[in-house]
Amino acid sequence: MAKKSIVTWIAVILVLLWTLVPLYWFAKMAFQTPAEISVFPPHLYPHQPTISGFFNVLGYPYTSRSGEVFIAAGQAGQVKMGLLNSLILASIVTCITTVVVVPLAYTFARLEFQHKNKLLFAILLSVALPPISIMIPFYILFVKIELAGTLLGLVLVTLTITIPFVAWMLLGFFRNLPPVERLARIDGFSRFGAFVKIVIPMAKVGIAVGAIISFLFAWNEYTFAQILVNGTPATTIPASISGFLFQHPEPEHLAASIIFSLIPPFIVAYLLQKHIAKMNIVEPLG
Amino acid sequence: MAKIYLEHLHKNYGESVALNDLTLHIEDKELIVFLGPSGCGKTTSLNCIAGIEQPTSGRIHFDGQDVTDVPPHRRNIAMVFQSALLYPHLTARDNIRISLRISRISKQDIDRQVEEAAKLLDIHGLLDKLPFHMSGGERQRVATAKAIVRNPSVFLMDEPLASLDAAMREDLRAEIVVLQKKLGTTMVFVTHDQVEAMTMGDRIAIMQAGALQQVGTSDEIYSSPVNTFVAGFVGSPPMNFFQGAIEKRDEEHRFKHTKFHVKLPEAVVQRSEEPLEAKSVTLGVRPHHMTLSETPEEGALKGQIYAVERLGKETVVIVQYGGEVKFKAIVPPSFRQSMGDVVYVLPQAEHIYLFDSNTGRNLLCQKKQASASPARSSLSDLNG
Repeated sequence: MAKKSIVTWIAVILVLLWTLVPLYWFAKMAFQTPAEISVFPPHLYPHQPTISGFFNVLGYPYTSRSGEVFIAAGQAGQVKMGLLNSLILASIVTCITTVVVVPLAYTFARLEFQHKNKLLFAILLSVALPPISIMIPFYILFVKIELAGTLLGLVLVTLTITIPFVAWMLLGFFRNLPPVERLARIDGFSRFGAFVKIVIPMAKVGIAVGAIISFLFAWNEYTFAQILVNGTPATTIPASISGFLFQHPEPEHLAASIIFSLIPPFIVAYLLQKHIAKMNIVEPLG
Repeated sequence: MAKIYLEHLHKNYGESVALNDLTLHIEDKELIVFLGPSGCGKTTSLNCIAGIEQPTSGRIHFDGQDVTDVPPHRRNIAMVFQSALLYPHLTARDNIRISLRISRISKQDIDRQVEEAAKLLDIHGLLDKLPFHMSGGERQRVATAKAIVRNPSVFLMDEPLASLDAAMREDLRAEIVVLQKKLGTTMVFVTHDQVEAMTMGDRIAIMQAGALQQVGTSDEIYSSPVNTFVAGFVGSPPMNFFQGAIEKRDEEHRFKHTKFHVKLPEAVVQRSEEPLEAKSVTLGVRPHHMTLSETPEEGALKGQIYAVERLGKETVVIVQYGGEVKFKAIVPPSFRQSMGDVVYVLPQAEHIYLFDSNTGRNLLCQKKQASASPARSSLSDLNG
C-alpha cells in the first residue's frame, strides 16, 4: 500500500509539473520587464516584478517608480475586444448548447424510436470530423451570407462542435440514471413533467459538467476564430492573442493577455469543481 | 379494498409476445405472487395493472370498473420497483412526500401522513437521508413507506427484494407479508425466486412465455403441478424427469424407461382421467422420493455417483447414467457411499407424477383438486 501511494504521488507530481511549469513560466514573464525577459540564462523568478504588462495590454501606459515609462501595447484594442467577445460567445454557446443538448441526449438515451442508431452515428460522425476539414466550406458560405467577421457566425460554427460533443458525453450519463420514469408515472407526472421536474434536477451534475465543457471549448476555440473573425471587431481572445506573433516582440504583453484569458475559465471551473469531482460517467449517482 | 380482474390480456412488442391471453381474478385483500423465469411476462402484466403500459388487447377491471384507459395515478395504486427504486436526488422524506403531491391535501396532512408511514416502517432516522446513503434494506423500507403513504387500494411490487442479501431478504419477506395483512390491501408481488413466492403468496400465479400456467396456493402448486414446466420450476432441487412409455401386462401398469422400469400402484393409475396404456409419458419424481441402494433391485436404474453434497440435515446425491445424463436424489445423512460408486435407483412409485410427453400436461389428477388446466383454474376462481 505504501509503495503504491508513493507511485501515486510521483504520478500526481509529474502531471502537476507538466501542467503548471509552462503556466508558471508565462506568469513569471508577465511580471518581468522586456529587458529582464531577454536576459540569458533566464531568471527563474522576476527580480524586479512589475505589473506594467497588465496595464499596457489593456491600453494604458505605465510609469514605474524609477520613472521608466512602458507604453501601451499596440494589440491592446484587439485584446480588450477579444476578452469581451469571448465572454459573450462562450456564454451564448453554453446556453444554447445546454438547452439543445439536454433534451437531445435524454431522448437518445431513454426513448426508443426508429433509426435511432443511425442518427446517433451521425452525431458521432460530426464530432469525428477535424474542424479544419470543414473550414473552407464554412468560410465560403459565411462570406456569401455575410456572416464572416461576425460573432453570430462564430457562435453558429462553434455550436456545430459543442452540441454533438456534449450530447455524446451526456448520453452515457442519462443512460445510467436509474429508471425513475416509471416511478414518476405512478406519482402522477406526465412524461414531460417527469423530465423537467425529476430527471433534470437528478442530472444537474452531468448538465453542469456539459455546460463547463461547452464554455471552455467556446472560450478556447482558436481555429475557427482565426479564420472567421481575426482582426475584425468580432475577434475573440485566442485570435487576438495570436496577433502578437506578427508584431514587434512584446513577450510581457503576450504573457499578460494569456493570464487575463485564464481568468474566466478558472472562475467557471472553480465554481463548478465540486460537480466535476462528483461526475462519474459510469455510475452517475455514486 | 380492491378486486382485480384481468380479462384476456395480450401484449406484443413488435413481433415478440410478452403476454398471451392472461385471464386472472385477484381477490380483495389477497397477496398474489407472479412467479416465473425472466422474460415470462410477469413484469409486463404488473405494468399493465399499474397503467404504465397499455395492453395490446384485453381489459383490466378494478372492483368491476374498467380501468384499462385510466392513467396510473388515478388508479389508486402504489408500486415498489425493482431494487426499491427511489428518486436518488431527494431525501427519504421528499421521496415519500412526492407520492401525495397529487392527492390535494394540505401540507400539514401530508407531513402527518409521512410521519405515520415512517412510524409504521420504523424509518424515522432515515427521513433526511439521501437514498445513496442508505443500505439496501433501508431503501426497501423507504420505498414501502412511499407506497403505503398513499393509502392505495392495490400494492404492486416488482421484485423489490432482488438486490438484497439473503438474510435481509428473509427478514423483509416476512415484514411485507405482515404489513400486507395488517393493512388488508390487495397486493401483487412479482418475483423469479420460488422460495419468496412460496412463502409469501396466498396464491401463486406461475407464468411462462407470457402465458399463465397455473394459479393456486403453494401446496396446490407443489403437490399437483399442471404440467412439466410448473413441476420443474417449483421445488429445489427440481423434479427429475424420465421419458418412457406405459405398458400394461397382466392387469398391471408399468412405466418403462430404457434403463429401468417401475410398477405403477393401482391408486396412481386410478387418478388418471384417460387410459394410460401404451401412452408415451414423462415420469416426474421429486429428488427426495428416490430410493438409492447398493444392491441390484428388480427394474432399478444402474448409475454411478457423480457427486455427493452433504447438507447436514440431508444429503444430495447426483447420479449419472448412460453417459452424460444426471439427476439428483435426496437421501438421509446416513448415506455412506461416495463418488464413483455404483448405485441402483428406483423412484418411489406412490409419489410419482405422469405427464403427457407431447403436451407436458399432468395426467394424474389429485384427490382434492379437480381442476388441472390453467383455463379451468381461472374459471373456478371466477365462480368462487
